[in-house]
Amino acid sequence: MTDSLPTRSLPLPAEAPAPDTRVFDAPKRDRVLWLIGRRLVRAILVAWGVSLLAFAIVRIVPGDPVATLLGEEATPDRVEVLRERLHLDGSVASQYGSWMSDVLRGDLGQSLQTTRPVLETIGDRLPITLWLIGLGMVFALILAIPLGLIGGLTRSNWYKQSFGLGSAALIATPPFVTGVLLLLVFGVRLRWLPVAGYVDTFPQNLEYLLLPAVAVGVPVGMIFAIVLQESIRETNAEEFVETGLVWGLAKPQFVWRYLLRPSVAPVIGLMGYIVGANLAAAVVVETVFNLEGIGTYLVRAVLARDYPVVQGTLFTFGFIVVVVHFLSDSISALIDPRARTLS
Amino acid sequence: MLSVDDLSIGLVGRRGETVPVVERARLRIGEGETLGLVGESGSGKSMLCRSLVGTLYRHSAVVTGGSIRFEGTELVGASDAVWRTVRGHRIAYVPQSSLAGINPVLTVGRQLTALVRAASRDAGGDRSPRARVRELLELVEIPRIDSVMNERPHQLSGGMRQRVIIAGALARDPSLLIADEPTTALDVRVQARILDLLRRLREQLGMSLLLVSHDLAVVEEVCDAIVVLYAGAVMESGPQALVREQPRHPYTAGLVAAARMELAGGYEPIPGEAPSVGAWPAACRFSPRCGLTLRLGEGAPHSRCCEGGQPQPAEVDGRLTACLFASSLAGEGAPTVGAQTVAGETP
Amino acid sequence: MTALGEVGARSAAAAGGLRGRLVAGWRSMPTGMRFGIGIMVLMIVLSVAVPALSPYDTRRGSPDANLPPSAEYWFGTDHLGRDVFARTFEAARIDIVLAAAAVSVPLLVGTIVGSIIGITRSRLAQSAGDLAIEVINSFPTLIIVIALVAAFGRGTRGILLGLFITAWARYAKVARARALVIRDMDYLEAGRCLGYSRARILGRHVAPNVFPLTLAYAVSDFVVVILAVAGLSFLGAGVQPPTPEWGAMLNDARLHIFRAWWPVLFPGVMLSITALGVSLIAQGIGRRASENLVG
Repeated sequence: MTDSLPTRSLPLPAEAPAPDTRVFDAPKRDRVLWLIGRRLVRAILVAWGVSLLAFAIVRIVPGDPVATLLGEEATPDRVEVLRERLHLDGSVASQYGSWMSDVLRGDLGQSLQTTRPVLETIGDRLPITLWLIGLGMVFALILAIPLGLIGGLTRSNWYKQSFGLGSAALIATPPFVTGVLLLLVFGVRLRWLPVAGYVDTFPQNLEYLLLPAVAVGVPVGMIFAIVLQESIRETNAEEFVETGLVWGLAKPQFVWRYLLRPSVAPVIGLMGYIVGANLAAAVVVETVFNLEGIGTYLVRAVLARDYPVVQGTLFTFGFIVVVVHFLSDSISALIDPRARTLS
Repeated sequence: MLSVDDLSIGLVGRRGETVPVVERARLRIGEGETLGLVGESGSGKSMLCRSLVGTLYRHSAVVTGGSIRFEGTELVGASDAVWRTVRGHRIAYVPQSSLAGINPVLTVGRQLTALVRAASRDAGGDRSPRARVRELLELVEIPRIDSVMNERPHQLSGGMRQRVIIAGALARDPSLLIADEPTTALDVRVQARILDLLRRLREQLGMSLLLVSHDLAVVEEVCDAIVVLYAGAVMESGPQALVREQPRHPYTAGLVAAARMELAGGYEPIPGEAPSVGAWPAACRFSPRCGLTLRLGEGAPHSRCCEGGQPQPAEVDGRLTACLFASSLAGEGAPTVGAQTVAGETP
Repeated sequence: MTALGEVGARSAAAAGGLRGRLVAGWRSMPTGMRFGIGIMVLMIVLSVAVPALSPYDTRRGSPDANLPPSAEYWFGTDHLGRDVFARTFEAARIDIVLAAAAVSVPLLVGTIVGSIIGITRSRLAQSAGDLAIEVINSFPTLIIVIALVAAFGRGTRGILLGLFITAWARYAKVARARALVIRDMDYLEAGRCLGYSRARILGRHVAPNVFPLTLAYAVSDFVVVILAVAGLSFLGAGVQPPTPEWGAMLNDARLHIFRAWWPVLFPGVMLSITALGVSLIAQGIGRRASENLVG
């Protein structure tokens, strides 16, 4: 077969590759814009891929989704109506075309259960989820900044070891376990905070969001702290920190301008991933605390096989992640002169 | 105003043990004086400087003995609170010039304004910070001040960056400025200008200056007195002209001869290499490379150089020297390096 | 030829003295990794031993509902009167086995797909592969898998299918990066010029070089997957009651949280301890890999 030894001799060592003349040789300022432009194209491509995936959800259902939903004895008219509503009529290409044109016009379809437009419901529920994620992020930063500073500056091995173990344990505890345990301690035992429910006005809603936000924020805060302390350790080894120190800057000035500012780029670069993790955490934490956000909307729709809702929420989640990814990449390229000169 | 006595510095190892990098160093700087500290890289001169601004801990080093007295305050073992009033306030430090020496994420203007604002608050002054920053930048002879203030460090040339760092160091009118190899990474023309600047600043502001360099030529242009450091120990110290013209230590003599050769376009370094930290000879540190001891000991280091470790400096002809045979260098007009004798060295 | 034989020779040399190597390996491990291995061994032993030795039925209820921990019921009983201790450790077995299954298949698929994307010379195939990887990876595991459960139906089968379809992309990303490096190495070039088929180059030369990396990644991915399995079951999409599973148990118990805290606490703590054990092992492996890279 192909295993027989050919008569050709082994090749000469590979020649040095010819210099790539296509290299974009722009000045540095334009280079950043160019990098951001490239990421934008990539983000649009990924968003398109996300739409394909959301579209595919109904089509990978084993057997006939309409039959699964309506049962065997459904009348032909009902089958026909549902088929149309799920964009299951015609060729796959035309199905995608009609679905996508609906989506681009802002029509994510209607819930099969309530017949309410999906986009409308998402619009109603999104604020709760965004509040939860935002507060979770604030909480994560409150945890991460002091821990990152301590971990980045300490030389105590004992501290490093115990922080390593502690952060690993907190990251290994999923938000729904943290959530239920917080509920148990602060809601059920101590009765400090409400165990469920929500009020829609600003300062009052914090009471209902505090425990959920802690559950969302703890693991994320630990990840931030690890990245930040690594980054601060690197920054602190730089010579300019010594310059700032011997200039005799005031302590807060020194910490902010010479340690934190130069170290935040990796944390911002991580934001895309973090927001994704936050969304996943929000889905379970909303369930724990019975918050009516898009997480519970998705879960309920999944269990009821409400396909338009699943597609719509999936698309929304994907869109949020893609946008945040793009922003965090662009911002970290803009604020980190080192990344700019290196890449 | 600054007197350092018997100062020893050690690098802290993994298990808490220390490896000496500076041993029993002694130096003096008077009001308005300029002292040159000369030594090869690895001789411990940067560590010595950092001990004067209390940043040794950043390089996992500690003072293991001796004393640093500055304007009546003992700095060895001083608390953080004391250091905060000294570092940048009374003693300023200009690190080795490099891109890494200046905060890359902020514009020059922002860095200096923050510093000056803190300084004027401490001093209770009422000048606008912006005016003070301009004044500082004028002082260090930066052209196009307005555009430089809006630039980030990587947009500046090496010489400009060094000037900015010096400007920051001057923000609080320090009485002692330490410049650690301020010109090393710069090209020759810029080097000369920075040295001129330092000299002028010292006269204009009446500061004392500690200028550190591996290059004897740099030091002799600016300094009143010099201290020669080799492998963590002071070899010779005294008035600059005296030490340079009549060295009483074979190492100084070697440096002077090498500098002279370089001036004449030649290149004749001291043979051999400086021992690395932790591998210092138990004898006189310089003995393995010393032409004098080989000549006196007829091919091997003289036995007196090998007894009792590193000799302590003693006064000979108006300066301190750590050479036991200093007087035998006295008769020789031109310093010899001893390359000829070493060339015939047996393995 | 010698270059091509190298991989085989190395694995042959490594086979001898397994016991000695294990002992030496254990001694050279960081403390955290030993701790992690200890947790996992204990957890696996208990997950087999406890249900086998327990006198209680883990699925059928009894009149002893909501009893606090006692000498009789070490972790108490749940709202249906089932022994939480026996259920918690039976759940350990189910979760660990499910996570192992959900890691191993994507590991193999992802390694192969990633290797192909890495060494292919077709720009179109490479871009398409990259895009697919990026699209799938842009979703958090839990969200994309639960969406797929809508298609496949809830239950063990549904979440396994969902995990199979999505998790390969993470391994493919790791494999692709490594394969890209290997592609330009001399011996692959040699193999290509010797006229070896693509399948042979892939199977004999690229995959064995990529696999150790994806395998190391699999250990850290195990943490993600076990938390996802429990999370999905918690949401009602995964393992269905009465089968004991940590997430499902927690979901059951949280409805009775005012009456009994023990059915909430123990499964939750066991889940985090297990995830911690695996992530300590993963940290150890990661640290060793980065040390090898430096040294």
